[in-house]
Amino acid sequence: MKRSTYGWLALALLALVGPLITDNSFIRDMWVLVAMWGAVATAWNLIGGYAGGLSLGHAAFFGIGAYTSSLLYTTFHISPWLGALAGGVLAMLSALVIGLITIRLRGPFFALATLAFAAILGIAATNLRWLTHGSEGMTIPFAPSMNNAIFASKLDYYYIALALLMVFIATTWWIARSRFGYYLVALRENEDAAQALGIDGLRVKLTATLLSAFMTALVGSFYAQYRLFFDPSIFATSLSVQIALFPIIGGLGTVWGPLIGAAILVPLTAELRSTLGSSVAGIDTFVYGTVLILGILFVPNGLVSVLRPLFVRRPRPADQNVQAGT
Amino acid sequence: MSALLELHHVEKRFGGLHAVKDVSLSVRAGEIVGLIGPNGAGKTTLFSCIAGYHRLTAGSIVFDGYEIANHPAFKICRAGVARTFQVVKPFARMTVLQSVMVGTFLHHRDTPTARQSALAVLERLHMTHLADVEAHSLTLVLKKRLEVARALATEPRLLLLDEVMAGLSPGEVPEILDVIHEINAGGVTVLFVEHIMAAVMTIAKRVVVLHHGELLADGTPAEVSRDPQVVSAYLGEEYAGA
Repeated sequence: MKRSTYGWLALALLALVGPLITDNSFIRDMWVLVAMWGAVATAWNLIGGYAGGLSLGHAAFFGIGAYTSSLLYTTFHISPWLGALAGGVLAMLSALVIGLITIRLRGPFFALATLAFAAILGIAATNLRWLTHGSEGMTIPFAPSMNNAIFASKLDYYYIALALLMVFIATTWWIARSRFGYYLVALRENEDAAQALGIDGLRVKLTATLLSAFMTALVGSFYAQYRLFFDPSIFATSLSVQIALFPIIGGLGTVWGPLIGAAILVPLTAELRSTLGSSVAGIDTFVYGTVLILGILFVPNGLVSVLRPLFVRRPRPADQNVQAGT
Repeated sequence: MSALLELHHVEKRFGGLHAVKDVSLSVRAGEIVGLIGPNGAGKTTLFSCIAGYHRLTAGSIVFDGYEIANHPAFKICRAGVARTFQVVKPFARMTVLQSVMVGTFLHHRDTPTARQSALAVLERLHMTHLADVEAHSLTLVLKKRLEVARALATEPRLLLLDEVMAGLSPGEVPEILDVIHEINAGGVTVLFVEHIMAAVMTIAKRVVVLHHGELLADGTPAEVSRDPQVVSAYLGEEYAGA
């Protein structure tokens, strides 16, 4: 077997049995969070990485997912499995409205518009007390059952998050090889040239945004079911930035980059907070920020560019023709 | 042969600047037409009007019987008009093959077919050996050729070439001329802007001269190069009677 095959097998084994190694609650929480944030980051990557639209408002879709499934569950006792789909559809509708307004904007203006969108929802969630309980937040009563999508063991949550993550990565993998994926990258690289080749830029980017919003909202519902509590801070800019940072550090516009980013940053944040957080106030975020700056400076193409040689068979078929002559 | 492209009284103003003034011309199917004129004559502006990158101030543009003026660029491409950019616009982080595939995807939805079709385009342009090179690392000359390859990949009926020979060494010009001839022989009508007069005179069956946004002359290369107005405005004495 080739080295790459061993690599993939090891990775699959790690993903499936990794969390079983220890029943330490903190470490199992890490596994869930890495899979969960990896999934959100993968969803963000469609628009932020492939299409090159730096969205700083993905917390909006995440929050819409969390609020929709939770409100439907606590008010009407609709299963969160269905509620998550409803949240996804609602996130798509909001993405359609906001996308039609903002997608024509280029560069920083798109980023600012998406940032404002999430901020508006945050303010709305704080003030619409009759609906959202305002800053008291949403509490979901602990009643474990399959239908309620509430589980006693973190392992159940982990495998759900892993399933979401795998579906998202497979979707990305498929898109990256399809016409749609080529169109997204072409629009990112040069929108004028892409239009000249018959690409309807608005339509293509809007489609990517809707898909990304739907995926993000699904994970938002998952988060609500996992934590069983959240408040309007779910719409915070810091969360949107965090979502964007995973792919930026891991590798923008790559299939595995967002997961790699999450797999490194999520445990790093938690570890820094628990070991340094109590010594000097704010020292953990200071160290975290320094690591980010160093990462962006020295690995600008993302960690995936460092790890790729371990998994990708080389030479690729196209290169072999060249080498055959040598 | 009937007219494939017809411009009727096309006007384009940018604020106070009158870039294109009342230009009417027609291009028949199968022709190779050269568009020449001094810098700032409005050649590229006229191209951008045809390809949907500028809104007309007045006038109409008819392609194959359909009005295309002020349609979005992507629709004009789908109608069968492809353009290159004078200032090249490569997909920097895509390979040459991937860049051309973006074009072939217009008529070939699935990836393997688009890939085959793109490889065929690269072969026509003698770029097969560059298939896996990233576009940003090409020389300017090759970036210009990639512009042609991408445009050709959309299988156009009319190809607008904006100074694809600028910057070529004299030795490289005949090769690209051959390529344009082959494209034309394959049934594609070509309208091109060029400054290298020798090239224009060799390849164009008809030459259109723009000066200060106005149509100055329209005729065979021989007629145009004898036109005293064209000589004084643009060509200079050395081409008189060429």
